[in-house]
Amino acid sequence: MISLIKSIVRHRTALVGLILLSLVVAVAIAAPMIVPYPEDAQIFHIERRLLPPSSEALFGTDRMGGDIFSRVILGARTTLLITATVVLSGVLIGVPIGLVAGYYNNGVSLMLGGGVEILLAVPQIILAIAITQSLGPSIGSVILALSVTYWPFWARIVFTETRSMCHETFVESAIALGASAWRVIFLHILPNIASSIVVRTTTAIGTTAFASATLGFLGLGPPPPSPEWGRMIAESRDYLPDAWWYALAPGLALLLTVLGCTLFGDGLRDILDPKTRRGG
Amino acid sequence: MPDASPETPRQTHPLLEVEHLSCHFPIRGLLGRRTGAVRAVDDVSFGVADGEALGIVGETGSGKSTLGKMLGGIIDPTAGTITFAGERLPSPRARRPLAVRARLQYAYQDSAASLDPRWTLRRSLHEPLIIHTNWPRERRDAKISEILSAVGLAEEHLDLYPHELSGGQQRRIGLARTLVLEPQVVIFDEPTSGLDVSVQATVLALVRDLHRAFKLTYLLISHDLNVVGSMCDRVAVMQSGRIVEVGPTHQVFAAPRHPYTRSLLASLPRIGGPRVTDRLAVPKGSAPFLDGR
Amino acid sequence: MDPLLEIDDLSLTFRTEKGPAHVLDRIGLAMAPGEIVGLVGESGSGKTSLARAILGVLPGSQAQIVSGRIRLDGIDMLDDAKAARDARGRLVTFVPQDPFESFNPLFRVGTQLADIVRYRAPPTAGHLLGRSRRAREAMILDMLAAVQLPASRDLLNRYPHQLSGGQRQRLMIAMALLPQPRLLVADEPTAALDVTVQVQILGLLRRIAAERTLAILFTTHDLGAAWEICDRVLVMYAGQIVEILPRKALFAAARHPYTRMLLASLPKPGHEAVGIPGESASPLAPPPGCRFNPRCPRASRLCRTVRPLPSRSEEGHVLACHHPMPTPS
Repeated sequence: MISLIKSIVRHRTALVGLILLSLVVAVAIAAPMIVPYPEDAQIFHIERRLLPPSSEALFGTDRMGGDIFSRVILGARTTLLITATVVLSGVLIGVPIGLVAGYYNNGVSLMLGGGVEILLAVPQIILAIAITQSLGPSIGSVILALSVTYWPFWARIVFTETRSMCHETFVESAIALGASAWRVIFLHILPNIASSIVVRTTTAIGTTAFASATLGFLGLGPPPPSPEWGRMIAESRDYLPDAWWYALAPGLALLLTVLGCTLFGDGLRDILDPKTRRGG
Repeated sequence: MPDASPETPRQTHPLLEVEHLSCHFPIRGLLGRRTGAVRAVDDVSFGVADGEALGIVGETGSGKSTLGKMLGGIIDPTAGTITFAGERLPSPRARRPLAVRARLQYAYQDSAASLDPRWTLRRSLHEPLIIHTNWPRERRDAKISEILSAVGLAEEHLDLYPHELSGGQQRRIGLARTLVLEPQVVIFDEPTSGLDVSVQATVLALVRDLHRAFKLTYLLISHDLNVVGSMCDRVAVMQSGRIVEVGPTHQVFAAPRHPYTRSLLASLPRIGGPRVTDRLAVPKGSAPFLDGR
Repeated sequence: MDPLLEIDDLSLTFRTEKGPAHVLDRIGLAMAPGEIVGLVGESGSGKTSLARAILGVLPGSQAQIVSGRIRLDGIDMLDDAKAARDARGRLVTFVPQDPFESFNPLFRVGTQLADIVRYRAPPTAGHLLGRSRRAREAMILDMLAAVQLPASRDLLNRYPHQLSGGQRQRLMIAMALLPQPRLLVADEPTAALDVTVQVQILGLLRRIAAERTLAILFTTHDLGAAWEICDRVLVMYAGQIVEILPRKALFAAARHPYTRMLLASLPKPGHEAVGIPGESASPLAPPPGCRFNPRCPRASRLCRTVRPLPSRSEEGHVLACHHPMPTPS
């Protein structure tokens, strides 16, 4: 663990990614304490409509007179809530399915593998749009739609990794020794593919945050006035280019989140590469 | 535990008996259509008596490794039977009873690869005992210490990872993991390939000592006739999936009957003896090559 | 006769993460034209590094020649960079251990042989503009016959994976011979082959050496292979030369305890080899004095402090040992 932290600090890309990602998470958690106008999530101030950035409103105000800085920070909570739930359920559904489908070589695993491939063949965002459309816009339906469409990513990577692990001599030897499927899967295979899952998950956080913003942009996210980055960018289109600050803050927030995840994921991939780090 | 075995009728039946064993790998053509088969092992029969050391020797592609893996329950035979201690082993291999897996073991050629790279050696050595016994931790620890000293390794090695060992030490750990369940029969697949001769000799000496100390019956699969000759009572010579000659080692080495065995033995360098290359190295139309210029 | 290859006092160090590794320690060797010398040693003995130093293919960023020189046919291979570059691949060529990895899998073997003829083979009189396609092909077919392969176009039209291990190794030897070198460095050329094929390749190398007065430096961990092919055997341990013996003396008159123990480690029918206890010396922290001293049953305090210098007897037997074994009678 200590050596892992050391190698992250030494790996510049991973470090920058980790700092960005931690910043977003910290801001989201501490949001109620740091936002200057917490009530702006719900209340309109028509008299302060579309003001440019100033010392009172760092990133200006929006069409309802809300402080954009406050709303972006509060929006981080929405994004984080959606992302965390979606990624967690993706791991919880995808990893076991991938392990079972990869370890066994029978009808059930063939069906699971085929099902995953079919789901992946459909463009994820279109499927998610269809689901949120029919459920009506809310945080819940975004979470459900993304969870349902994103778990096959984990299932597929775990499936491929498990398949190749099954050809490793130490797995073969454990099976020949009489080890149960449970033992082989959870004690031998899972720890050895954990690093790929971690890397995949890190990058997936960014992708999911982006997808949830996309749904918000299309008006399928949590309904107004609750703050959401994607919808804020969508609203700003009517006031561009005059209110140039309107889209700046939510856009930057989204950019930094996705960038942080990508950089951290890439760095982790290098650091956890079994070719350079084995056993330790 | 492995030693709770039913009494074997030793005199009448061999401990391990193989009859008409075959393994064919299909060759698939377009659209996965079966166009033929590689007969890796083709109708092989032999027996191994209790306490015997049988060598299986052959060149690349002779099927010796496939044969070993079928016996070790890693590959399913296409046809034929394996009888162990009077009991016919079920096929497919997944139905092989746990007790048989402990008593009949396959030792991998690359022992480092047969250990989980993320596990310490301690954990890897505990695993067979966890699977096959319900011993408490202290009893397992005691057994592991015993085996560790039998293979000539120190307790400190237990906290290392497989890649942190030298080649010879890796073979020793592989042996320890195989022997910790006190098997009756071990199939050694090229136990010393890739080792330096000086290390190879120490590993072979260890196998010999264990054979004597534990009355271990073993099959030794090797491409090296000298290794088999020094380690085994009987030797079976394999060529393209078949056993072409089998007999007591001294007899096969002194008076080989099959032409293939003869050509194998004739290719062996004998330090201090006449050079095999002498008859191959004479240049065309010139005087015989003069030695030791 | 002047020696073809002369190595004097060669010491080589590799920079590693864990500090300098002393891979070669004051190696000295002279090879006559047409002579086959076996470089015998176990892993970590430095035999491959020595072969690479002669070929000039050491990893430049890590390898550091601490002292010594290598002269090949009068050319200083370490100092005269331009002459050494010209000599490589012409005067001295290489046969690798794994012939499969050394062929480009995407090209037919014939193309790869033709490239060697075009870029590396010495020019012949009357062909100022290089050889014609036909002349190149004739040269290649001649070479196939020399390595005892069927001299047919069919073989040349194949891809490397369509050939057997023995055929690939024969082709590799043909490629190494095309530039008409005077020294061939062969790095365990038969380690990956079956015994029946090994013996044929070894016989072929002996025959070629005799026919062409080609010197061969043959690294191997297999004393049996060394016996079959070499005129002289150089035994290395942990970067030091322990003994250089004429082939006949290898079995009969080896005097260094390491050579003897190595010979006693060979498995033989009806003989129980014992091996050498202990681990090979680490090049990162080699023991002072004779590097074999921690594993040597005859080691004395002298061996632990003073490095035994190689001494040469009349029969050309070089020995580096303070307490050699008596000559067996």
